[in-house]
Amino acid sequence: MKKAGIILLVLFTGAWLFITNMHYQGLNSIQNIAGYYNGILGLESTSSGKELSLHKTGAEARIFIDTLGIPHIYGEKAEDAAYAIGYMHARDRYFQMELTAHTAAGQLAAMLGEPGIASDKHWQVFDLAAKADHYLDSLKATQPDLYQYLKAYERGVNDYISQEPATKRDPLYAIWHYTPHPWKASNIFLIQWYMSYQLAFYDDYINRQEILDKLPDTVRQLLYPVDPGNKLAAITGDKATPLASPTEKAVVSLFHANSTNNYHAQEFNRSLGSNNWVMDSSHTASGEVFLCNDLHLQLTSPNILYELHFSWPGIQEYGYSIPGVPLILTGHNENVAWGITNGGWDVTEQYLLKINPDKPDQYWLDGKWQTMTEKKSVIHVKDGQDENHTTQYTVFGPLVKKDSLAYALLWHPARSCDAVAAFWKLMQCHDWNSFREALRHYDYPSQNFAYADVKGNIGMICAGKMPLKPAGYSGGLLDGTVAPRFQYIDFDSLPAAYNPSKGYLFSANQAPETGHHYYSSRWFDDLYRPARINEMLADNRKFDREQVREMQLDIKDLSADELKTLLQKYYPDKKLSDNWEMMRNWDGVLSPDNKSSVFFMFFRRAARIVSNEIAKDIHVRSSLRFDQFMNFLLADSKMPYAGASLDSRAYFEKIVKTADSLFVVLNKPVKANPYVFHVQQMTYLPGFQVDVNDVGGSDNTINVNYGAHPVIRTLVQINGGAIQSWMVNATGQTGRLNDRNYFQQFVSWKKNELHPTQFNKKPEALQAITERIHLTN
Amino acid sequence: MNYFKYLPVLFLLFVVHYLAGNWWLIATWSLLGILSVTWIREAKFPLINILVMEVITGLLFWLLFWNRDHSLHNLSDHAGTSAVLLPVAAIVINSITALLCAAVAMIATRRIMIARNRN
Repeated sequence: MKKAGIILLVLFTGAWLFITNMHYQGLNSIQNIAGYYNGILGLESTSSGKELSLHKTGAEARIFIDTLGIPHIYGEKAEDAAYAIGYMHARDRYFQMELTAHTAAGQLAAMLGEPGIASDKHWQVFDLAAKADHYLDSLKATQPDLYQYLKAYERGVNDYISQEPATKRDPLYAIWHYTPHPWKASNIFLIQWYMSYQLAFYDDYINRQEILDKLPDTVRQLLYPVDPGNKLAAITGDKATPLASPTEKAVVSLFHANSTNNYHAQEFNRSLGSNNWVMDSSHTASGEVFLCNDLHLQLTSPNILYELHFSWPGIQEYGYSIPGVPLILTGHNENVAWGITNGGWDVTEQYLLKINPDKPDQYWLDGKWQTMTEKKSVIHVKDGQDENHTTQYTVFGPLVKKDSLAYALLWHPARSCDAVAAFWKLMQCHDWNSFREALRHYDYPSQNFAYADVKGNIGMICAGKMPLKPAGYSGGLLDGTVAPRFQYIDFDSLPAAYNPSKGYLFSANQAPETGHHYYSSRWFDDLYRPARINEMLADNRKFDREQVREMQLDIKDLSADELKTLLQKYYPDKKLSDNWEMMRNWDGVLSPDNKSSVFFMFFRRAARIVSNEIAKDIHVRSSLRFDQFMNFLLADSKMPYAGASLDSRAYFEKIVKTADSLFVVLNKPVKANPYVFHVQQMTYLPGFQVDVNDVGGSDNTINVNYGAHPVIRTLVQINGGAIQSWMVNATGQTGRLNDRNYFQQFVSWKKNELHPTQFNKKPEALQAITERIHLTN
Repeated sequence: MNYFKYLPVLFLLFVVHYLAGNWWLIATWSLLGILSVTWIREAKFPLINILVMEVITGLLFWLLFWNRDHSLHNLSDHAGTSAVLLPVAAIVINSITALLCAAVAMIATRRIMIARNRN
């Protein structure tokens, strides 16, 4: 008996040591994390509340950090400011910087272990780490000022990292069992590619090809219309003769009427995007100009953006940067303010290849067989075995095989990275012309840049490098038997507007323009949010700042009006369930605590279910998106197809019944609140998730809360030649879990209580400063 | 019982926690199990004493090294737990490991010594 007890004790001890010392999914062991001195409890936050002088840094700059953790940097020259920005980025967000750069370099597994392998397999085919180094080298000759700026930033980052005591390191390093590695200036390009991927990598071409191949034009126009018409493009007005007319046809053929689509394709998160709008003095109460910008991205903590104020003689900038990128992406200088939204242009291409049946490494191109090139790569896995991979390349890009299908992937953003240089110039622009010139070589991700200047001018440029597609192309795969052209829409042909007569401009990820070039990666999508912004701006009222701020919080969904139209159309007299009768009088405001808005989300769930049924009925994989579905329901169609009828009324009746049944089953609005979402820690650490249930909104509202959320909001006011701004971050300034600035702005963000920015040229005017850092040569 | 004998134990635990990694700690806890048989022989409950020393070490770190206002409280806030739970969790994990390692080492040492005495 005693012996058995001893054996049990030994076994239990062994199991305990194994469990508490294992590195599960790349995480550090429990025992290491719980260490008294080297674990997370022994780490101190960076906020010291003290004055710090650092000598022999090679930079002359002063950093003032306010109570929100926002640094105000005053450098003697550009390189000094860059050094200080690097110092602060590293101090607050170095783990995030490494995470982003490692992801795009295809080296995530080296940092996180096994969970990073899938990501590395995907990214390594683009070979971006080598391209980034090469691009930085080329800057030495082409733009030496920017090169010096980025190198100074690199020094600032690395000096901070090398001097940081282990006891003050970001807890994420302890949690993920990793140590900081030196920063490279070229990583800035990796971050650009990372953002381009988030905003402009699409993978649903096979599904669209299926629609193009299988459905007759009439059915396709009814269910999957491509062009939203000339409703609410970002830029409206006459244009020159179109270079390519969207006659909507398939370039290649892949599917027959009876073939099945078993290919996996990734749906794009349609909530990713942003809003910006700018209104001139004719729309405002006191003759101001307002420029607003909300960036809708995946909401994690910390989020991808970092508030920053810096200056050197002749330059003063305020706005949001990305850690790793010492540039202002949305914000203002002393003359010009700008805000960005995602263009969503179709910059990914999949080329259908004809593979030699006898030699699988050959493909047919321009009338002869070409041999693919091969490249070997290694994925280094932390705490694991390295993995070797071989990628085959065509003239288009890497080969992708899905069952019997072979296509080449051409992701245009991987071919250049000029956005960094464009933002560098943008920061220094002073009027519309210099703004335009700054964006002349901007490439990816395509963005709609809203503009306002101290003279009261407003404008917008939809900027990016849009590849020209074959005439008539509107989605689907491209022909991989003909060499690619690599031609792009000329900058001067891109949609742009300056001081329009209507007095305002806005963008919300809708088409940049219609009927000129082919741009959109999405078919008939994102119509309600632009419509709502337009409805509010086109109103004759004169806005004051408070009204503009409230507009950013707007959660009215215009699709509710269309739902009411449908009820009136199909059930003008018939009494429906209480739920539906309630919807007849609802104002469309998606408050989370309102029964109508909760039921509306059940209507949307029902619409998704029925939309899936339609896709099954017509034998395609892609179900109708909500905007497309509403368009179909409103059409009151009874089109015969495939032995049945595409009857809008019948499908709406199904939705009515389905929504009722869903709501009966889950008729507990509090428990089944469809407006609850979670703010995850950026590496999805368990325990650091925050639930949000009091914001409301959807993908159709100005205040987007769905798959993405407004991770920051900015409001810029220009009055009497002076620029003032207000901003808020959804989470906080720092990425350190043990710092008070980590989640500090969250409550303010929910209410859109924007903080006034301290855009002061003189540091003496700054208020609420808690730390001062003096960098000297 | 002479509790002063435990002062070097406390000192040893504190130093190893401060300077070394987890495997050194495991070795130290095991060493304490051996010492409880070979050196601190008069103790009636040697394992409980080792456990108490480990808890005291944790409490000392709590008092002396863990920055409560600028780290611990923030961390617990962001984890949605109380500021007591995290230190208690760390102390409990280390104490269990200390107890198990010391117990196994102690029993093994006793058995070896008994076997030697028999011979």
